[in-house]
Amino acid sequence: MADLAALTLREARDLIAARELSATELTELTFRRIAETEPVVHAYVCLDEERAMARAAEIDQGGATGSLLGVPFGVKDILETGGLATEGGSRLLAGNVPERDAETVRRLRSAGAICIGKHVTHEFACGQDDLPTRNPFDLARYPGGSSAGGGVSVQVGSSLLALGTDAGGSVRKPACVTATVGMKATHGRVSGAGTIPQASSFSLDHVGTFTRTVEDAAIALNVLAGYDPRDPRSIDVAVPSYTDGVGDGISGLRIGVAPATFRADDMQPEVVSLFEAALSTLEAAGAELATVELPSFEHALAALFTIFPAEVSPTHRRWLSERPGEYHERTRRLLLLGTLIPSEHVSQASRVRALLRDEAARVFANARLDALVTPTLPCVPPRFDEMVPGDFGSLIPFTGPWNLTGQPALSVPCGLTPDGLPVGLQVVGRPFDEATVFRIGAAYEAEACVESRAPFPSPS
Amino acid sequence: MVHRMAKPKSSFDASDVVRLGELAGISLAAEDAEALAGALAGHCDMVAPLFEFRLEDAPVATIYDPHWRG
Repeated sequence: MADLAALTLREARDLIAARELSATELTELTFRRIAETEPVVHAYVCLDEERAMARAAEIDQGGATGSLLGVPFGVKDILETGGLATEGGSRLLAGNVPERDAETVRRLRSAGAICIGKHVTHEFACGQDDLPTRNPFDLARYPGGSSAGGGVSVQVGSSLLALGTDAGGSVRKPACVTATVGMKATHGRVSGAGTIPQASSFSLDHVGTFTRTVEDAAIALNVLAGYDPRDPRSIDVAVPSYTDGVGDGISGLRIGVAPATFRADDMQPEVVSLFEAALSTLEAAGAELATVELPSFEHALAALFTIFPAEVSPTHRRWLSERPGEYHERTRRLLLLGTLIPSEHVSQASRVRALLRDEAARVFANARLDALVTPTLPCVPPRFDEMVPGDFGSLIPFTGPWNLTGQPALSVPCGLTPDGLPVGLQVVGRPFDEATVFRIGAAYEAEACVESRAPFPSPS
Repeated sequence: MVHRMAKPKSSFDASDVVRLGELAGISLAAEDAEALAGALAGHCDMVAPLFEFRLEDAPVATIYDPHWRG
């Protein structure tokens, strides 16, 4: 019998294709794993067991096709799922059951993947409220947000693939602190249609994935990428196969580092140490490192923290007036701030954003970079009792800038500290060049062979 | 020619925020107004460096939509 705690998406898919494992067996295993882990980690909001088992039986009867046949996946609870509650982590959407799937959910189902349930999110993905989700590496530490349930679920094996959204790091950050692989493709590459509007900062938000390996992320993007006329942000450009070259290695690739922008002084020493080791690993794998500067990026978070609330707040006007008491207090205040920010702030933030985008393009071109790397987070997952409620700015200085530029970015496990806490390596690519990002991530993963499994936690 | 914009106001009290809310069409509870006065001041301090950029250095993207088919 397969061990879900160790299985990858590709292995599961291949076992099912070879009829060494049935979709029904895998789905049953998944729900058994959920029963073991949920009392401790609380990654799911709700489950869709009856429909999942029915779909698995259909697949086992034969006739279904697709590259993800039988793969169990979970969905952040701000992406719509037809016939299954989508509540956005908020009392304001209690009982909301959409009629149709978000485009990304539809694509996964069409490829044969089986939706298991919905993953925990911060209320409207705003990062303000306290979550029940716990980090399997240390239950007293931050599990990531806002797509908290996705990273935790993939880490403990209660799903093999999870969909999240990322407007400042909300896929890469939980991936980093749970030692999973988090990927957001270029803005416009993956449809955002079916993200509940109250949780979407439309110019910053990217639908992304959690997987256990870089290859699994490439397999998922093969299904998810592509033009969608339902989403006005979607861009009609050719989609390559992301798996074809993923194992080609990185000999001769030029990888940028920007130590004056992403400063060691701003990182915990354990992060610096593991990041420097990662750079040595990339060099040993044949990459050439190049030091570059991105001086305008010091203003990235000010721009992001202006644009994000300004974009999200307008969809809440009516509820803020009529049902203010149903929000978590900190979510309500963030959204109210979005209604009060002067328009000149938003205008100037948008101009600075354009400057950052042009600076990144110029630096990548002039230095002939194939990608740039940073730590994903400057710190290990903080203890809950060390965190300032609602303040996630200190956690996203390395991820947020790439939501402003819209470039593809991947977080891959970069090892554990001596205390057993995960650190992530972020690989940022050129627009629409996710294939190179995957190549670098996969080469690092293969060369470094870092530990990325959490000891399954016992209830505290 | 260098254009510099004035540094935004960075001191608010709750009554300022209540008035801003009214202008925005939203009635604010007193405790929200109190909290937002600090948040708004913090926001203004945070964005102040953005106003040091010269506007001509920050390009404005075209409004032309390449997907528009007319």
